[in-house]
Parts: sequence; structure tokens; C-alpha cells
Amino acid sequence: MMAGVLDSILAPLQYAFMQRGMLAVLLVGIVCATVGAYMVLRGMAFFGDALAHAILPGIAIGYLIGGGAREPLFWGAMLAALISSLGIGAIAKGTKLREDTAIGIVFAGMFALGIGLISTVRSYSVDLAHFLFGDVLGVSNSDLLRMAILGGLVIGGIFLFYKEFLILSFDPLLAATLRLPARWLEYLLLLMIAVTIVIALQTVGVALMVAVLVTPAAAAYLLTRRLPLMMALAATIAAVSGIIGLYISYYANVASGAAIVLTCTAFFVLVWIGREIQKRRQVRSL
Amino acid sequence: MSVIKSLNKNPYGKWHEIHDPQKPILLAEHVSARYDGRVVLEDISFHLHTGERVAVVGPNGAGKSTLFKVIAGVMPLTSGKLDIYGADPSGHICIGYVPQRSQVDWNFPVTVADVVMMGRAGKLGILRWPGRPDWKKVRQSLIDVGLEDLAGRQISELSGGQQQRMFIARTLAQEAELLLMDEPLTGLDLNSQQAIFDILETLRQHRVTVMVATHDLDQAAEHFDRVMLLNRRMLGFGQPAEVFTSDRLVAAYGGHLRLLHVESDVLALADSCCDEGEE
Repeated sequence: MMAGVLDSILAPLQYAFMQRGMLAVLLVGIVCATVGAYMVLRGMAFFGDALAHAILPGIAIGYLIGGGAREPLFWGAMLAALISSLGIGAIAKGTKLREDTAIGIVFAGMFALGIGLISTVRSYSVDLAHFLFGDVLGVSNSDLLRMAILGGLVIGGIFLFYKEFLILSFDPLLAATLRLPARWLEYLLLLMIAVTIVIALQTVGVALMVAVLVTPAAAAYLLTRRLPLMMALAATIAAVSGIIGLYISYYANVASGAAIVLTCTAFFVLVWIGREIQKRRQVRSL
Repeated sequence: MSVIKSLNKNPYGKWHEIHDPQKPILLAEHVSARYDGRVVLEDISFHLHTGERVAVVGPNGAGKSTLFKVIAGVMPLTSGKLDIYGADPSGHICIGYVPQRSQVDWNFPVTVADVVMMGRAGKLGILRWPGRPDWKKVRQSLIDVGLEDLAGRQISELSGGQQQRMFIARTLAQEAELLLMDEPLTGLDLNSQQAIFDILETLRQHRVTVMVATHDLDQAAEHFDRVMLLNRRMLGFGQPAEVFTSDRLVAAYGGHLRLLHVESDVLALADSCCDEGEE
């Protein structure tokens, strides 16, 4: 019996593409969930979802230029993310429209542009699906290396500027009276979110990205009232969900991105139910 | 390495070069400010003495919050001049701002000690972590406001008065010399209000200058050295008895004020405060 369980855990790992996939989901989970903690606290879930979609034209252009090479895809995505963030800021400031409206405009416009561009390529349906829903089993060694370097930079940035981001998120007025370089830090955070999205692109794809960013962090938020612990828990939940999701994908033949996200969602629901039960008990014991 | 060192020496700006305690802690000359294109402060001139306690009173929308933001150097003037210790406020990190409680996300995952430690960031500068002296300072600040036993609590577990005291402790950790408190007494019971006045008394011994925005004219008259009556313009600044005259109060509050003449005293009932912030 034990041997059987062990066997079914080890069996997928004999394939190199599964090993790479496991490493990729671990990396992506940790980076996404840590950045996601700030997104949950600052109410940026919609922004994250929008930014993930808005990088599509960048990917399409990278694809058309590079003919499938990874490097141009990455730079195209980064460029589209930057243009979108700046565009959202410019519309919100310049027109006095609410920011969520500006996000909606840019997000839909950019996403449509991406689909339009991709549809000009003949075999677009297959590739489009990869971009939309991820292709974690197609991760190469050089992809992994790039994920690790960029992910390391993002985590490093969160760590180095921990106290600044904490103040900026909790009390912008304090940040201003302490003369923190608030605008510069805001841009840095947007940049880190953009990099995170590009890293996660291959694992979960554009459409489900927001779940990996927000769901583990939200579950962690229910479990703890300390930010460092919230980040650590979120990273753990995301990493474990990634691994479990990949196994589900292997054995049940479910699309990997969907399996990972569903596992994250299941974690959130479990935590939520657990909290509710705990609350009821506390009320009863009073 | 030298880059990091110079960053540490000069954390977020050149604040320490322009801090001249020989000059008045606050000097405002003909200050005007706009918010959303509307003039909310017009031609305000006054100066403060170190260690004094001033109440700023006026109806909702009188510009109290804007005045504080201008003094804190986080909002620009449209005309006039405002100096803190002889230089523009935007260069100083000695100004402590205690926000309205309604503007704080109390579910944010931080402890009381975490919030107080935020005050140290200005002195610490970028890329540096708090060390033992900083934790000592945080602990002392919590002791000063009587919250040392609650240091590890998540901030939503505090009562309204304790929340307010936590923010005062943060300004102590910041080593603020000018304290701006936006409606700190609103919604607090009498005991909690008294606890805050007791702390303000200790602050006076530390020569901290305090400005408090309040709706309560009685409290302003009772607990403060000077009061400022504000409604876009400054309608009076001085001893409570000089400022709170019936014609000045009517000028400030207009139809929202009811004056009751009880024997020779004037009793003023100001407009009741609302929670929608004034900007």
C-alpha cells in the first residue's frame, strides 16, 4: 500500500518535463503569492487580472517577430505590461475617471489587440491556448533559469524594501510625512507585479493568472494577522497547490493551469470553512 | 558599498541639513491652498511656540485637514509661505501626523509594535533594518502611552482610545516635534479622551508642539493653550475666551451654530460631526 502511494508520487518524476514543471510551479507559486500579499492588502486584484490580460499583444508581437523563440515573448510581455500600467495611470489622472474604469478600458483594448494579432497567424488556436492557459510541461531549462533569476529579483525587492512597501500600503500619509520616495516605490511595485506576471505566464497562462496571485494570499490573510507570516503561508499554499495541481493534471488528464488554480481555490474554501467553524465554536464557548 | 553608505546618511532627502531649532517651529504667512480647484484655505498667517497645544476648530469642510496636510508638507500651497524650523515642511521628518481613525484599514495584518516601528523608518533610511536601539525606542514609546502590554496585538483588537494612543506612540518613535492630530477625540468615551489629554500633558514636558483638529468647542476651550477658529479663512487665533465670542462663532459656523446665552456665558452648540471626512 505505502509502496503503491510512493510509486504514484515518484512515477511522474521520471520524466524530465515533469521535473521541470514541478520546479516551475514551485518558483511561480512562491513569487506570485508573495507579491500577491501586497495586491490583496492594497485591493489590486482587478489590476493584476487586467495587467495579465493586457500583456497579450506584447506576447503576440514577440511571437510574430521571434517565430516562437522565448526571449522576444518575454520582452514583448514586459513592454506591454509597462505601457498598460502607464496608460491606466494616465487615463485615471487625465480624465478624472475612476481607476477601475481606466483599468477596464486598457485591459479590454490591449487584450483584443492581442487576440487580433495572434489570429493573423494561421495556427493561432493552438498557440493562443498556450498563452491563455499556460503550458507548464513545455518549460525548458533556459525558461527555468530565467524564472529563477527574475523571481529572485522580485523576492529580493520585496525583502529589501519591506518596510517602505509596508508603510506605503498601510498609511500613505505617513509615507509622505517621512518623505519616502512614494512615487518611485509605486512604480517599483508595478514593475515587480509585471515581472511576476511574465514569470507566471508559462505556468498558468493569462486567463487564470489572477488566481495564483490573489487566492493563496487571500487564504493566508484569513489564517494570520502578521504580514511576514501571511507572505510565508501564501507562498506555501501556492507552492503546494502547484505540486498537487500538477499531479492531478498528470493522473486525471486535466489542463495543468486549471488544476493548479482549482487546488488554490480548494485551499481557500477549506481555510474559509475552517475559520467559520472556529468562529462558531468560539461564540458557543463564550 | 559607498553608495549604500551615502544612501543611509541621507535616507530619503536632505532633511537634516535644514532643521534649525532657533527658528519658530511653525511660521505661516498668507498661506492659501486649493483642493480640487476650490480654494479651501485663504490668507492664513500665524506662528506657533515650541511646546504649546493648539486646537483647530471649525465646521466640516472648513479646511482643517487641508491645513494639516499643508503644514505636514504633503500638499502644496498655492500662495504664501510656510516654514517649519526655518525651512519648507517637505524637507522635514519631524512632523507627526495622526490620521482620522476612519481612514485606517484596521484589518491590515500588522501588530501594534509593527505600526509604532513604522515611525522609525524616517530615521532609518532606505535599505536598513531596525536594530536594537529602534526596538528599544518602540518599546519606550509604547510604555509612554501605556500600551506596552498590547504590543503584539493585531491592531483591530484595540479599543478606539488605544488605537489613537498607538498612533501617538508612533509619532514618539518618529521623534516628531510637531504633532498634527486630525479629530483624535471623535467617537471616544470620556475616559479614553481623558487618557489622551494625559498623554498630551506628557508630550508638553517633552517640548512637543501639538495641533489638534476638533469639533468640540468646550474641550478646545478647556484643554488647549490657544484655539484657532477656521472656516477657509482664519477667523480668530488666541486664548479661548478671546476667540470664542458669539459674533466670531457665528461667522465661522453660520446657520449651523446655535448659541445659547446662559446667564452671562455663551454656550455654543456646534454642528454635529459627521464621519464623512472633510477635504
